Amino acid sequence: MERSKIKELLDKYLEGETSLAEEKKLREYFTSSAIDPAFEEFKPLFTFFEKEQEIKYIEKPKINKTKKISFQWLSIAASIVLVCSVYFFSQQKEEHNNTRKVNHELAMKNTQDLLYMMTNVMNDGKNQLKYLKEFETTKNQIIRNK
Amino acid sequence: MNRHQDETKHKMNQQEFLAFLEPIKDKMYRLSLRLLVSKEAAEDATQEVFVKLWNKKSTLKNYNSPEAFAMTVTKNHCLDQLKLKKNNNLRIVHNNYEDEKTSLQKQIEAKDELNHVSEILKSLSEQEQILIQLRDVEQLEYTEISETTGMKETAIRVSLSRARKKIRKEILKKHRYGTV
Repeated sequence: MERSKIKELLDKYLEGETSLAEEKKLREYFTSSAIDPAFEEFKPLFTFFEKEQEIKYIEKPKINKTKKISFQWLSIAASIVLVCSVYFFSQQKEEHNNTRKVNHELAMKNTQDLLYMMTNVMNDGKNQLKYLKEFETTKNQIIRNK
Repeated sequence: MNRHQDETKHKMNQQEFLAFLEPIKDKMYRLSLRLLVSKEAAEDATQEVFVKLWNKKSTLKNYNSPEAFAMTVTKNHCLDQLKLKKNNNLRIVHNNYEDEKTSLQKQIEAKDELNHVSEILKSLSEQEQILIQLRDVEQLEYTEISETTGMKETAIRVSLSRARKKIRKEILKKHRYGTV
């Protein structure tokens, strides 16, 4: 494009009087490689506009509609979990009761065993004490003899 | 029977709604980005505008230009967000952040003229930013911009002219600064 023509267009552009077609021409000129250095300041401007137009909106996965659906699914999932947990809990409780009975008997036996062991040990200890008594009687004998 | 047909004609179903959004969602996002600067905020704003439009889908077709209406809702929503930020004093924080960014950018800027242009745009008034965005980036006709902003065509041209001159002046400042 001729220099005078561009100058004319730019002046119109700055006054806000260019049509879209004319602005397109300007954009094309300033994004090309051969630019008159006299108008160099317009290069970043039009390149910027060109680049800005390429920005795209990347959809985020949280739209109102899907939100509602996810709440529905959430409530369904929650109720399933609730039913399952109640079921498992009740079953576990039953099991728990059974094992408790078994444990009771076992504990009884264990404590009995333990008590037996204790008495055995105690008796052993008591037997050991007999020697002490012997020592004392001999000691008394010695003292008395003196 | 006739009335029923009328009703279905004016109401949008989900598919129609998505088809309506498809060609304009990028435009809406870019306008939000221009005004709100941060990508996160612009994405949230776009999403919220989608919801607003979806809630109004029954009346959407009654508008002269649903597209322009969508852009108006976007514009207003973003301006509201900016007002909210100002009220919450978040503006100050944001400005600090921006300042830091520009000072950091200034070091690299010599090579990056495009960033410089975007910085200049931030210094324009909200209205000027909207007009530059709609006309120079989105290349909309003045009638469409008028519908979106509610401004008269002559007022748009005047404001746009002022904005363009400001941008040019700032770029020239930078250029001269660089060469001296």
